[in-house]
Amino acid sequence: MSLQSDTAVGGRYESALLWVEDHLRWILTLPALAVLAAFFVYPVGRALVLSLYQFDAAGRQFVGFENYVAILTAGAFWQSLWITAKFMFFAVSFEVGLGIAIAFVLNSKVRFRGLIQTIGLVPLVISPTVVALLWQLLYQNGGVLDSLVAPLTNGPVPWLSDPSIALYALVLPDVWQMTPLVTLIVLAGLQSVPDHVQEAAMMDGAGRMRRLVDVTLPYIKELVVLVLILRVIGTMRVFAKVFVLTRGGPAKSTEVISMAMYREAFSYGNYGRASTMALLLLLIALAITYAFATVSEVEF
Amino acid sequence: MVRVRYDDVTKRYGNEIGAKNIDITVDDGEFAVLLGPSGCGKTTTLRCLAGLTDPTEGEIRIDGTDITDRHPKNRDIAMVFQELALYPHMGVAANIGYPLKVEGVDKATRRERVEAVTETLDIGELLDRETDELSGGQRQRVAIGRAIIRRPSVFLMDEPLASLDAKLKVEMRNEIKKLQRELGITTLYVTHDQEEAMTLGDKLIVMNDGTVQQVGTPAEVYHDPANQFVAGFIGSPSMNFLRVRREAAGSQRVVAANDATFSFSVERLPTAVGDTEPFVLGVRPQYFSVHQSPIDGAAKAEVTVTEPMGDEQLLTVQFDGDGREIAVRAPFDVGVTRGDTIWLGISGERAYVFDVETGARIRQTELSTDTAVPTGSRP
Repeated sequence: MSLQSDTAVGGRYESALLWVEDHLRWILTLPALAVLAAFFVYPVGRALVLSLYQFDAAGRQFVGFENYVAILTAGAFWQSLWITAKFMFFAVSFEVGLGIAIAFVLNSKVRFRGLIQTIGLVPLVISPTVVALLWQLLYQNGGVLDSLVAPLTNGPVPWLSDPSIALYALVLPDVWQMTPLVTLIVLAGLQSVPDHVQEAAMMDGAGRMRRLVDVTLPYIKELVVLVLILRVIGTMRVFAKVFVLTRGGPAKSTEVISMAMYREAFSYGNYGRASTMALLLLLIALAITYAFATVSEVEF
Repeated sequence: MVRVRYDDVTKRYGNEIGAKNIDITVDDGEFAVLLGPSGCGKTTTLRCLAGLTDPTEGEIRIDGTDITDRHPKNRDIAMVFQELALYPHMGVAANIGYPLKVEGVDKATRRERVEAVTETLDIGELLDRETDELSGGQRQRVAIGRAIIRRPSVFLMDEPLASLDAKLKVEMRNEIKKLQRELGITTLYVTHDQEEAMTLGDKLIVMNDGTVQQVGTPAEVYHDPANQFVAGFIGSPSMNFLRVRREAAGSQRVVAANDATFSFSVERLPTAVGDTEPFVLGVRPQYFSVHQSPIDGAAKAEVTVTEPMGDEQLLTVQFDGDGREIAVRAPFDVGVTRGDTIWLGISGERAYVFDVETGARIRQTELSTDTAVPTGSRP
């Protein structure tokens, strides 16, 4: 009798073990799936649901795709998108251009390279809000920047209050903060180019430019595409700097998409429209990433 | 006619010496091998010629023209690197054709010449492959193809076979030698593998501690080494070195320098060796004669290890009462096992004498040297 029950217990234990073994890949993937679900699937799903509703004093009403139609046909969204695109273009161009140039300089035999690299990384670790506050001080009427450009101008420059220059004044802090990231990533790529491959190209008759094009760039191509994607997505989502420095003004001249989204949700309480914008932004980001990866033939 | 000349070339890295007073000539079409242990300066010497390292002093000439300060691309030299250094983002054809592309050769001609080279190297079918799809030997051939495609004046190879397995190494060695003969390009080849050097080179340049120890044909450096370093480095297993002195004034018998343990008869000791001062006697493992009973002029020793190697066996023996071990080659039919006592004699003309302090060879000036090729051990 006791032998029988022992066997039964042993059998149950064994079958439990077998079940675990059969489902092991799911068990091991579960934590990652849970995180993905909590921080991506749920918010996107929730936004998708919210985007189908209109919010007003009476509560929320199901409106179907009305929010999408309203946003895509209104000029404000396209205006914000255009402002975001301009910000993105200038910020990414300077960050990537300058970042690559600095990486090349640091990759040559520069004295105190380690020290320069460490100091250069400081802006990266500061929160964007703090960066914005620092630049607010620099942009103050009669502040440091004004005294720097004083010989070229008549009196203080309305950095953040002139609609024609406010957006560019937002680009500068972003370039200051994010260029080191580009440098860091591209420098890692440059340092992965083996000396012997460079030397082989030299022996094959290639001069400096030729080696740059034929050897160095192919080595760092994937990292440059990666950093481009990172910065395009980063600038597309820029919020803290705009919020602290201009709040989208003056005259909505710096109202980037995320700012418009914030206003829609928290000033007008229209979470449906804000969610719709967020989803449209997500789609644009995905499309840009896909386009970069396809054009550059880089696989991630 | 392409003749390479190093004129007293020295390379220093701060206080460290990379290569010192290199004074060598490689003649037109010659296959010269720079041979030595790791860190001996052979690669530095090669890189100075390539233009990848600037000599601190001295001049390098090709056909009398000083090229010391010329950029590598203006030297008409091609090189195969130890790491092969194929361009990972280019396919086989693009890799081989790259030097021509840089030269500005048009696409059709380039393709034609790439095909010709791949035919020579027997890799025609790999032309459209990516380099990461190739085996070690195939990658090797691609690297060689890239180096020979533009018919350089001088061809440099820096341990190109280091990463291949033993069988492939032998195969590629033969192909490199054949190719060099066919093309007749003056070649400098770096290796630490003395077997590779002996089989490939017309001329060996043996280096140690940044200096050239000896330049000569493989037979010369093997049979007539300039010093103890060369004698020990060339040959496998290495030459045995024993610290000895004459047993008595004018005697042709030597005893261990510490007065104990063994004595040999050595027929032709150089007269320069004095009667009391110690010197180093060098004997290759195959030039001992092995006896299983005492005979005059042989030293008593005990066998500690036997390694059968087919036609012969390698014995590790220890002199009676002495800790030092030496290697001895004996025919396979000499029946000895571990623990047996044997008596070792020396074929006199095959013993070398070196200075204890400097390691310099002390020559047998009054006698002609016999350079017959060794035929293995003689019991």
